[in-house]
Amino acid sequence: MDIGNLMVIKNLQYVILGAIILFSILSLIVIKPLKKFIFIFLFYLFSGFLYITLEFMELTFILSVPILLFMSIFYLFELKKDIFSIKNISEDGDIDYASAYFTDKESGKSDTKKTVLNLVAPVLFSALIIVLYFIFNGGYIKSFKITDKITIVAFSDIAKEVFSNYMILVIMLIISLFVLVIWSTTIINNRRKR
Amino acid sequence: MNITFIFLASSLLFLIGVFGSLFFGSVTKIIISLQCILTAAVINFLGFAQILYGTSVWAVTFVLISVILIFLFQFMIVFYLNSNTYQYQSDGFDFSSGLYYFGIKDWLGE
Repeated sequence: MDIGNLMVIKNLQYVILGAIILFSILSLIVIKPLKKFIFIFLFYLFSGFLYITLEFMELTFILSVPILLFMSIFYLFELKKDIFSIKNISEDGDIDYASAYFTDKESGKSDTKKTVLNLVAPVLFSALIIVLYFIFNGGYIKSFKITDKITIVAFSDIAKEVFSNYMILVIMLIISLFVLVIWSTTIINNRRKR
Repeated sequence: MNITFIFLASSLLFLIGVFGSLFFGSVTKIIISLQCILTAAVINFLGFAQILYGTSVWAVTFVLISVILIFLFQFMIVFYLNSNTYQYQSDGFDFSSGLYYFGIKDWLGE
C-alpha cells in the first residue's frame, strides 16, 4: 500500500515529537494521579501517532493491547496506594507506621548533603551522555535521507516473517526465560516471608 | 523533515527518562521514566530502520515482540507491587525488602 501526501506527514512529525516530550515531562511533574494518567495516556497516544508517521501503522494497533493492559494495572496500583497508604494503615491501631515515617522524613530534610548529591549525580550523568552523543554522533546522522516512497507492511507479511525467520523466536524464548527466572525467584522470596 | 530532529528528540526523551529514574524516589515516577526510555529506544530503532531499509518487516516484528515482552515484565513488576502495597512506603522505594534482593539465606536456606 502506497501513501501519497508525504509533505503533510513530515510536517506533522515536528508537532507530534514536541507533544511527546511535553506530555512526558508533564506526567512526571504532575502530582494528582488522575491528571498524571491522562498525560501518560496522551504520551502513549502521540507515540502511536509517531509510529504512523514513521510508516509503521500496524505497530500502533497491536501495541495498544499490552499498553492498555499495563495502564489498567498501573492505575489500579496508584489507586490502591492512595487507599492503603501508610497514614491509613496507622489508623488500624497496632503499629504506628505514620509517626515513624514522618519523623524519618523530617530528619531527612536537614540532611542537605544527601539532597544535593541526589540532584547533582543525575545531572552530571545526563550531561555526560549529552557530551558523548555530540562527540561520537555529530556528523553521522546528517548523511542519511528518508526514502521518498512509503510502503506499509501488511499483517500477513509479519506472520510470514515470524514463521520463516527463526531468530525472532529464539530471541523471544531467551528473553521470556530470563523474565521467568526473575519472576519465579521473587515469588519464592515472597512465599518464604509468609 | 530533517531526520536529525527525530534522533535529537528521542535522545532528549531518553535523557528525561534517565534523569527521572535517577532523581525521583517514588515507584510511579520511576516506572513512567522507564516508559520514556522505552519509547525513545523504539523511536530511534524505527527511525533507523526507516532510513536504512525503507519499511522492513524484520523491524516491525522485532519491535512488536520485544516491546510486548518488556511490557509483560513491567506488568509483572506492577502486579507484584500491587499485591504487596501495604508493605511499601509511598514516597520511597526500598530495594532491601522485595524485588531485586537476594540474601544468602534465600539461596542456602536457614
